[in-house]
Amino acid sequence: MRSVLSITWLNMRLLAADRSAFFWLLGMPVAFTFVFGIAFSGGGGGDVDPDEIRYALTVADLDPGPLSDELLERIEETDEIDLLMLEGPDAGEEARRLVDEGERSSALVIPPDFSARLASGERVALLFHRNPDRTNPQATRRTLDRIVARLNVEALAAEGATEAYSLLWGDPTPGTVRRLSVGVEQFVRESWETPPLTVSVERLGRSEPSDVPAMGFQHSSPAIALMYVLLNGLMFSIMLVEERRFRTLNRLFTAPVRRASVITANFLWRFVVAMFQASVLVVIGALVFGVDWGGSPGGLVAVFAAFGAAVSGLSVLLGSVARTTRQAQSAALVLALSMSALGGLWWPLEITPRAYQIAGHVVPTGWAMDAMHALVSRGHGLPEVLPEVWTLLAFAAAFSVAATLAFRSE
Amino acid sequence: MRAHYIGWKDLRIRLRDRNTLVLMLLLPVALTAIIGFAFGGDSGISTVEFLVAGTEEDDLISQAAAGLGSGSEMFQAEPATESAAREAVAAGEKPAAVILPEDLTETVIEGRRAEVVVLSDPASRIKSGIVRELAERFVARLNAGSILSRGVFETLAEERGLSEAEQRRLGGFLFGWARDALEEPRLTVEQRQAERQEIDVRAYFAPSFAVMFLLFTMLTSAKTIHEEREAGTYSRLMTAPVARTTFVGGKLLGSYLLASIQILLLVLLSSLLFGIRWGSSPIAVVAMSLATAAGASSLALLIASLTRTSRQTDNVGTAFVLIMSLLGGSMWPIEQAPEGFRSAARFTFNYWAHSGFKELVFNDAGLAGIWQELVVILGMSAVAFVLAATLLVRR
Repeated sequence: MRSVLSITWLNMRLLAADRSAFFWLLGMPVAFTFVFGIAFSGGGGGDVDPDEIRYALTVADLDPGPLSDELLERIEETDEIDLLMLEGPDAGEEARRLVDEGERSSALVIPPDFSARLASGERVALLFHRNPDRTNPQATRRTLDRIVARLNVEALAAEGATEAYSLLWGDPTPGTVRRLSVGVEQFVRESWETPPLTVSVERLGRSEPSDVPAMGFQHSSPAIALMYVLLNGLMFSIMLVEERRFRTLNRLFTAPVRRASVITANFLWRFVVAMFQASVLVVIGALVFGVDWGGSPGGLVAVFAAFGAAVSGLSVLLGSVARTTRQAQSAALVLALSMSALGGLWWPLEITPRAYQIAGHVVPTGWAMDAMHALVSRGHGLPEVLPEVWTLLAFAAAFSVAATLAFRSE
Repeated sequence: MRAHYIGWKDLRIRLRDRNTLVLMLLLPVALTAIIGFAFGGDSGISTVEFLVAGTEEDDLISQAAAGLGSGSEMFQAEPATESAAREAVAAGEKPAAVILPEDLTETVIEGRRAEVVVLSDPASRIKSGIVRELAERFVARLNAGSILSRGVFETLAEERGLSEAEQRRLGGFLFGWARDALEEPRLTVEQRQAERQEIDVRAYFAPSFAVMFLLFTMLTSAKTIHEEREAGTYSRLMTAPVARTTFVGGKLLGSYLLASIQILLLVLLSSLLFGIRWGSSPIAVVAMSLATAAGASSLALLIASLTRTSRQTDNVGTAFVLIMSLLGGSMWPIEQAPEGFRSAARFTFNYWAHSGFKELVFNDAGLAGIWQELVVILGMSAVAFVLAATLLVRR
């Protein structure tokens, strides 16, 4: 046991003496967390109040009639959209060009006969150009749909009044229809902002919006922590190759040290570094990015420990199998990046096809990320993530057995 | 000895190294394939399965579930009890559930205030967001029908006063009429997206990964300058009549040839394996590839010239490549980033290289369409090359 601890301690001291190691263990993951956090947040990555956000909508109003002005007034009244008006006969074409070339996110074109057709009861379509690369047009379109729905209801006031009146008392006079229409429109105006049904969202877990200001980091922090524990862990396989290359392993075996002790020490120091790295990244995530890691420190430790054990086993296996440092480096990169992509560390597995989700669970990353979702997002505890922890430990056992069999000193 | 001997020897060594080939070709192709598996093909996002619960009779809940699912195969709404729905969402078995209020039909007809609750699994933000959107659309339709029919009812009641029989007759008629009338509204919004071919994620990421891994390969190539010194082969070479400029020129030539081969092979492989069309102008594709190769090899050489050991080149270079790839959009779609981020990206080599290839793939741009990218990349290459050559020759 003493020799195991001595070799472990020695390897960790060697690693600590290398200043660049800290950059790779901590600096790069923090930079990645920051960038991916912004990417997932869809905004600045910080405390965003959706009610405060206003989007710009480019408008080409080709209609000389009064109803287009009314439509634009309704849009402005929402206080959600800033209108950027285009003038001139080519405004419609200009709106299309601005969106196509990515200068504007979305544009609304009101056709020239808008008022005339609506007044005569004909159907008419507004043209909404959207840039598929931007997310803003979704919100703009939602607001526009709301206004259009209300205009449609108001437009049916006269027809509804006529149909209902005829049903009960025979055909109404034009004066009656006008009077009734005004009444219905008045009712619609008064009731529209206080509709009978509303939608509310109840999140079942810890991630209530008020608790978690930075939703982007809530995903990127655990995912990047797992990815770098994996990437750095596998890169440590190079050290084993170098130990063989410089014959330090051979020299070690001339001392009264058992093979089992050397192998165990190689697992142990990798595992300790993985746990150290994960702990610091969790603390940085909480303090710098405001990540809520859930209410189960025990669960978090268990998941990182099981994952770290699996990575350590794979690292020793890779170091034992690889013939050169370059081979170990290439294999580590291939394994770490493809496992990260497959296991849902780069994008949520929920948006991928079923076959991809299955493939994501052939590798340890898929299970580790599932456990992170359960702990961090749903607020589950250790009992709920035990299936994932056991699966990760099974991976660790399989890798470790294979690594022990493949371990060689020259 | 001429520079091309050194360049040719370097190229042969690199091409015989299987690990270099893994980094050069296998990794970018594998990652592109994985992304294609995740987001490409016909299968797309997996079905959005959710539950619908309420106190109405079962057939009404089923109708509401069908209404919420909009008849699309992409959505699968199943009736459930509220407790079962809560349990399933809390356990992460379903991304969301919609809880309808008591007496939904009466509520809508009479215009009573009530709430439709969407239970969401916070670990499944995208799918639960889709269910919320469905619920909002469903509720908006019900609200519009409710407001219109009640508006007509109240106005007529005020106009003439309604007997109980008239109230019943009108009530039965109005809600159905309003629902039918709103099915085909007079005013609609027709959406048109920018005219471009459907985005193939593999076509988007193949050039991204090609540029990123080109930089990685160039780093391993550039660091041989230090490795030659560390292994003593440089000193031996200097005993021969070789000028330092010849040595540096040879190193750059070897790197450039390797970079050109790598990027052209990646273009070819992605066409053969993934069917990516790189536009109709082979000259533009070759020009863009050769310019990118020049940029990557010069930048890698500059990093080698600024560092003192092969290990330093590895560390500083890898950090440099990763940061540029992150900022420049080689790892994620930069178009979705906030404005400030997109502006910062324009200072990176990756941004311009990716932008040029994107123009070729998505807009079928010829040489004229990528001149700006070519000028920027060649400008970066020239500056990096002059600096690197000066520093290396002086050292």
